[in-house]
Amino acid sequence: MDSVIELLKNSGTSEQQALVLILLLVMLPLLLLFTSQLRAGRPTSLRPMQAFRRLEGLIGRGAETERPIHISLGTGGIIDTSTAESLAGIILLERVAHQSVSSGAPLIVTVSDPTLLPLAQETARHAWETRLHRYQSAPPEVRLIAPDPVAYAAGVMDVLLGENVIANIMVGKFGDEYLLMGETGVRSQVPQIAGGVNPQVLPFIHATADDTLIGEEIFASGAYINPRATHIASLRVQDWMRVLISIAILLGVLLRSLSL
Amino acid sequence: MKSRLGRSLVTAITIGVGLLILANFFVRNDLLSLVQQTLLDWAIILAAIALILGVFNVIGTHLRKIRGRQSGWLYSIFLLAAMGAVIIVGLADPRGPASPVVSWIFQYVQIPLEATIFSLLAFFVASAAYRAFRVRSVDSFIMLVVGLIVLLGQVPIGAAIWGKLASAKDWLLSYPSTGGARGIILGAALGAVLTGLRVLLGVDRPHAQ
Repeated sequence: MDSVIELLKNSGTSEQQALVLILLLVMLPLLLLFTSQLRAGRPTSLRPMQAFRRLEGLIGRGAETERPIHISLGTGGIIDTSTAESLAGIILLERVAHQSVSSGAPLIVTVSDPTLLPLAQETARHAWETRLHRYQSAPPEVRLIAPDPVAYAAGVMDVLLGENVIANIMVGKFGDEYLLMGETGVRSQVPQIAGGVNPQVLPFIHATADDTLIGEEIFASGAYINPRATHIASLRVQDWMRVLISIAILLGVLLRSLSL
Repeated sequence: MKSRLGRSLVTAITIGVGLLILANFFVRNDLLSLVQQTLLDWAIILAAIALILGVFNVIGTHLRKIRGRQSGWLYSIFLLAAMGAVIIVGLADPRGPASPVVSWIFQYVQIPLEATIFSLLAFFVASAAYRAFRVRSVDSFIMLVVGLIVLLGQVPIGAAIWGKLASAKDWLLSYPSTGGARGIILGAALGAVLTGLRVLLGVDRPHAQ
């Protein structure tokens, strides 16, 4: 291992560069291969995920009762390290907005970071414009609450307590302020689906949400709701990479233990 | 047709910019670095414009609430008045956000208010912990046992009950807990890389809808 690191240093490549390059060189071909296999009709199966199954039921209940579903995209933006989590929320919003527009379930979408606002608004508007059979006279409502996480949580608490929402869905970047929102949802007896990647927040999510999306599961919505081949292929690549990384870790432990 | 062309153009620009930034990560080149810095400067300007759009969004949301006499509409009047006052004070003083009045508002109004809301967390943690630790399944039983070991391992009474409780707590935090957290972080990182790849390939186009 030390000799590999030495070799990298001599070639002027940092460990980080080498790692990213290896990831890209492995993941990109796998993604293209699995996508083409799925498009060619190769059957695939996904493990059932209760959160996505329940989501469809909640949209149906929203349509029946005409009570809004609240979607929180978290406190992240799109020009910082939380971009991927925010995009996971946007992909979920895209799928839910399409179903909501065609079924008539009202949506209230809240964001904290102003950079996410236009993206969320465009996603909601696009879902509304492209549906032929729509039951709503305007695109789903997207609101900027506040850029500060605590102020955002306070605003979301107000939405959950005062706007008679039928369900609360929270996917994106969250910190400790998540608990203020999650616990308010529990006290209002609103069914909740929540997901995040921050290990410090996951216990809060586990304690407050009826169904959870833990870690990488937040990136899976594209494969479960109105699935697309590329999103299903992404999940397969993730599974393969996990296996490869596990093997690499085990090999590393063995090599270190044997002082090779 | 025009909008399809527009979407393709936006996607092409996104892919091009993404590849440029990626190339600069691997190759040391002054021109690429300059382009990257310029793009980052543009991103900051766009973020500032997004903030202005956000202010209009907040005004629109609360005006609708006031017009419709929706629940809490009086608070909306207060919010808009407070927002207007802070903006006017900030704009009237050439020092902007550094003006003494704006600083005073932040120090003596905003920070105490945030601290007040955040202090609710203590009570919320207690009720969430009560729910999480109710023994409903094998999972929640394990969670309860681990939680008790970690809690008792941190206080002197834990050592009085069993001498090795502190070591058990350290082992739980250092191995199973850290291992689990790292597994979650690794999985999330893979998901993030794949999300980036899909954007780079133009499959996910939230920017070009």
